[in-house]
Amino acid sequence: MIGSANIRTEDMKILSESKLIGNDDKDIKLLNKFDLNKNGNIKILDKFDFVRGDLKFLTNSQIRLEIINSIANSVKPIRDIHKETDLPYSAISLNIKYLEEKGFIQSNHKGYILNNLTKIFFKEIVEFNRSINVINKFFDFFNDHKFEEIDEEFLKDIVSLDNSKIIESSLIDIYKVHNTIIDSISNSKDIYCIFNFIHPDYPIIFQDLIANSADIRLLLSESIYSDFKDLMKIEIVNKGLKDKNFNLKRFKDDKNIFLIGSKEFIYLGLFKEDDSFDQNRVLFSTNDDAIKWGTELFNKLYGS
Amino acid sequence: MAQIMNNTQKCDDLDLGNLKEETFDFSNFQELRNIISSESRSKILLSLYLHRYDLNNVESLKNEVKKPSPYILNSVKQLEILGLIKRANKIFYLTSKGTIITIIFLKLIENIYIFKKNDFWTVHNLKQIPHEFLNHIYFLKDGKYVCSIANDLTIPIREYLKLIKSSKDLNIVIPIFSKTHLDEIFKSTIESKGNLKMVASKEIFNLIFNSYQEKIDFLIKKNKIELWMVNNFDLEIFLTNSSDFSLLSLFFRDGHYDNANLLLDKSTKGIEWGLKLFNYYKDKGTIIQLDKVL
Repeated sequence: MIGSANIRTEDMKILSESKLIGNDDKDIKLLNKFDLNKNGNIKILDKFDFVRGDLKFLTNSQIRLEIINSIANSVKPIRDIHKETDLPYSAISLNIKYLEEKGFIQSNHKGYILNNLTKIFFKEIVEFNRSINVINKFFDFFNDHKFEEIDEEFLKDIVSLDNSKIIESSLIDIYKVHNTIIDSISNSKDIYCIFNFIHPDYPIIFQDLIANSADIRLLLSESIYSDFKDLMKIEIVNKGLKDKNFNLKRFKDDKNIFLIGSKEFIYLGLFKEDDSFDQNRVLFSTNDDAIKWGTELFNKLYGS
Repeated sequence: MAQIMNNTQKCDDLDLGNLKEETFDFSNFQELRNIISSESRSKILLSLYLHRYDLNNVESLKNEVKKPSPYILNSVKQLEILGLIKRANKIFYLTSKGTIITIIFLKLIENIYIFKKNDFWTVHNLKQIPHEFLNHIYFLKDGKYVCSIANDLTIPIREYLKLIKSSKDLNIVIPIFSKTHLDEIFKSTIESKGNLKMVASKEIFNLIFNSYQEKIDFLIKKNKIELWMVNNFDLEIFLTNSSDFSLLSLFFRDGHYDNANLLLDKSTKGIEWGLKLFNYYKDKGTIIQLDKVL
């Protein structure tokens, strides 16, 4: 019985051959070269060579991108693509021909549609572009700041911060950042936090939150751990630790990141190149993707 | 190309939600084009990130990018204007912006490379891999495809049984009733110190309960089994995850299960991807109250 029930020789054949969309002969040679690489460790530059043609072809032409976007959700004839995009018929026909020849789109009696891989490619390209926009939007926040605590994996998902905003101090409100954060956390039922500096307001607020049975996880740097604890009433700290609604960890190496989050929001602060915390701006979001991003980042740092 | 089209004609059914960008400004793609359209600019960024702990000068970039010095210098100048790299004493560095852009560029390359590299992703129905998981497919970059070959159709199932035999905790989304698979899954769980967590449809669980009642009773008594049932759709994904591996097999687009091809990943990231996907399905299901079954 083993392995015999549903094997379809036609599909097995498909899988055993190198048939790839958007390929030319050069790509196939590269693939074979990779397959012969017994280390299985293909350099990223070789991978880039393998996908470069597709990426360049899809993104180089604004017309192609508009056509792809137009048929992204459903099959459409050229007439409808023209109505929607206002592109000339000749430009649509020519680019449809290129896209079809390279196997990125397919046609039936109703018109043209993206194939599965093109849908994935398009989604990835749009995300890449949106990520660039996020970086531009928060340029001052990231530029000349340290973000080595944010693992590469999290920076790859920076698009999750798209709907965030920057809270900045101003000449007429120099404590705006601090006061905004304090307001947010004062009534929280669950909160996590990474500190490697002390502002005397925080230990007091956390002490009150512990007393109110909020779930709290704190990650403090070694250098402030004792001082931070000493600013809270020991009996409340001990009760929180005993009741397990208060969890406290310390880290030896200073983590140059400020992160406070809950199920409702995240605040992210960075350190400047001179290792000082930038007290004048934090990134803030109540968006689900950003909250998930912040929570997973905290869990990673808290667990390590 | 005709063969490629035959292949792709069957695969226009992937639903990634609303893919269309209603208010998207495509002239906004210029910054992306500035990077992707030039081989040397792209490769310089990638090289500077991959060798970020080294001192990178024109000579080292020339060796890495394999282009003559004038090309490199010209590209470097353009990247400086774009604010992606900076130089000090003839050594080049990525700026903060350049670093983050290169990191997301790496993700784009890894993801596209995986999908393009193997037809595993084109011949199968990907509908039941949510976009969040397709978007993190680079977690499976170290995965290996285990395939049947003409003179040995049993390679995938032998690999599967071998891995199950040596596993402890198993997290499984199972869309089929196969005694070959299930015999080993139950045997391994009973003999090991590990637990079994399984997600399946009502129909599959009925068949499993009919055939493995005794073994299930034993596992319930030992508190070694948890089951979740999905009610409102047919599963078309076979995922097996343990602390040592993630194994994925899929259905063809015509609805048949493909038992001739597996994707096996033993890397930390691959295991993490599999566990998250298992949890996704677990959360979609309803836990079966096993004390009532007993």
